[in-house]
Amino acid sequence: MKKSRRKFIIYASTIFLSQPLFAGYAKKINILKEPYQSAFILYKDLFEIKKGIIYELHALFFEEIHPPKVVELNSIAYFAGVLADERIMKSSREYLVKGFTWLDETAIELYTKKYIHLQYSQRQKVLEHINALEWGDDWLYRIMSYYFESMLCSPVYGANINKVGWKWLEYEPGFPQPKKV
Amino acid sequence: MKKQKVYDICIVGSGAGAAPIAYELSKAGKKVIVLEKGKYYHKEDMNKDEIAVSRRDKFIPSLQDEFHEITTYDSEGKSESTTSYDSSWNFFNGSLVGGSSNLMSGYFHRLKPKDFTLLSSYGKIEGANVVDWPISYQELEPYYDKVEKIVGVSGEVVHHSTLEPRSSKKFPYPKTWEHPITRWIDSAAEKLHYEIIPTPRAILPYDALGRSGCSYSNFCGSYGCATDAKSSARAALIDKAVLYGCEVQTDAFVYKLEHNAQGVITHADYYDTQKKSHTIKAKIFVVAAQAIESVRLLRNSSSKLHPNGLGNNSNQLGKNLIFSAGGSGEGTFNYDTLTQKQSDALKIRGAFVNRSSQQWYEYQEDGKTLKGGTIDFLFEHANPVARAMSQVYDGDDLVWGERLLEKVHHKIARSKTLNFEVFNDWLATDKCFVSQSKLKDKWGVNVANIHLYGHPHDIKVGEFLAQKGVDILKALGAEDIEYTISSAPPPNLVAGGCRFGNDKKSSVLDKNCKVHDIDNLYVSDASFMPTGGSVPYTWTIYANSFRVADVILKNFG
Repeated sequence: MKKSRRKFIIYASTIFLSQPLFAGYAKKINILKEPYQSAFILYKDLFEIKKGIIYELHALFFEEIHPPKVVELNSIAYFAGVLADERIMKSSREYLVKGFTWLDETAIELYTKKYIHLQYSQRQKVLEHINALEWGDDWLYRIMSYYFESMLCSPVYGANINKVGWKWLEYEPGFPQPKKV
Repeated sequence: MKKQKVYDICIVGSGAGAAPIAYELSKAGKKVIVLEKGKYYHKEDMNKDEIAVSRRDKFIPSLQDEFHEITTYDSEGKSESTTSYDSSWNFFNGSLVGGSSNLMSGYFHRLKPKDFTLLSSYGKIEGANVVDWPISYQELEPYYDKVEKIVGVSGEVVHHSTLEPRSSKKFPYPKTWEHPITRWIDSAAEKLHYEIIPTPRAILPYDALGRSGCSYSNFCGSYGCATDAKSSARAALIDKAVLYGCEVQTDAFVYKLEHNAQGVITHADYYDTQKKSHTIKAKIFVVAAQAIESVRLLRNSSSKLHPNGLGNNSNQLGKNLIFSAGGSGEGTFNYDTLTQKQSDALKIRGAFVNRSSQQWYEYQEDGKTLKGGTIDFLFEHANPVARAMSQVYDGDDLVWGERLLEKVHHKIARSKTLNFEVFNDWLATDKCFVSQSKLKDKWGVNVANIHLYGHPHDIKVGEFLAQKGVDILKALGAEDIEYTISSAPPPNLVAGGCRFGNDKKSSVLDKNCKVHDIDNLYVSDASFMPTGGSVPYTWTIYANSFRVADVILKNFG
């Protein structure tokens, strides 16, 4: 059965937003420690790029610079940047964070463990489970969009290190590129 | 106490509807001030940062601060409302000096003579408010011509079945560098006996008019131009108006126009970024804040004399809002099914697909002549994140992991997608309009409530044209061909709401775009248009604004 928690949380978060949740970057990272870890694992699950056709085609390239780690790690850093980005509505940023809590709630409901403690196949099942829910579909879509931003943004954003995403997709950016964020 | 400066003319907005007036009146020595809500960006500020420009909407206000109420109708006709921030449905198109013209793709088509006589030429349509314009194509033609020369339009004039009358034989600038696929399109059309024409562009192919030529960056639409080759209102006109003495006040959100006891508009009130109110006095005022926001300003400027807003004595303000009807289609070329030469040709980046068809600008169906439209061809936008995100669904299901990455790799590295866009008339109706919302934005000012409705006839015409686009994609050998025609409005192609006309009871403006019953207030953005034609509006907006500039100059004597 589909359910929608998005609207609820967006309204609810307007109450939270009067709190200084995003007051300082360092403080924010600390507050978001748990979602930050969950994000790391989730990205890995959603974008497994060590196997399959892609790997076969680009094995040499990947081996040379170990892109999975680089891409993933900097995607996480990028995700932290997203949470501090005032151009994204605060309610949307809160929603991203809350999604990680719901992800854990679902993992506990299905396997009595937090998401990060599950085996790979169990994590896939959790993803499939939330994907069937309205909030889960919406939340995963947003997470994916920020992942691809981190993969394909200008390196001035601190992600797409060494243009690894662009090289993988043989992508030529438009010029001039930004000199700063 | 220092006496406040009184300008000859105060213009609200700085886009295509505003800039010709600022340019012409400044050039004529008048004291002109332009009030612009956004900032003054120059070509040096225009980089190709997808995150800032496209993903975070650098050039539009934050929807947390400024928004619209949006009202739609369900299949039973029951209305329901949402807001921009709840729906992410954004109707702001560019808050910066030069407005959304900075971000256009620059397909430039004129309206055709019959667009000015839609009612007389094609007759009534049930449920639609079709009318003739109070001016003819012949009256606007000299101004289309002026835009070609002063603003800058490039292209190649070829004789074709619906070519509109022109006073200049050629465009003043030759066509931009064309992508090899244009030859494929020409061959495919020839086989089908379809008529394809070169698309004119508001882009300079080489240095001219004090601006640099195109650098073929591959990122034109949605982005500001880094060379000023694109004929934006800022690069082509406002920068030059400033040299003639025009003042541009940025970060100025105009929230009210005030008048004296005689009904003469005396000043514009605006908020700066700190919400400090300022007043500008002038002899003549021009509103050109883009259709929806112009209606909002006039509505919010209500007074004892004009209790329902300026220009609304006949309750016409905000009525007959229109967009460009139609939709888009696409077909994909997979490199592994092409020869090396063909895939190498497709990989060429930056060159323009200057091809369109206006063969079906009108067509026959069941013995009746129907108004049709324009089909433009273009490559899918180069934004990589957008292209990657187009792959995250398989039908209704999200995909991830290897399957997703394979799809994304194929999309960006191993194929190229050719799109077409269909432009046909969005018929004005009683159900598509702008009203005053009770909701207020960060300034504490009532926002606009946009009521959206597309007439079923628009879909019928769009479907007809889309099939022609599909025929061409098929003849090209494209795969995975699909298209969408819907009544969802393209927010960047908006007009109407302040119809011009000869009858005060059915229009807001007179034929010169002066507000009925107010002698010193004009509206010169696309809101004057009673019908939209079947092309993008920008060339017509520029042309009409040059026409209004001449009217205002004559009034100064």
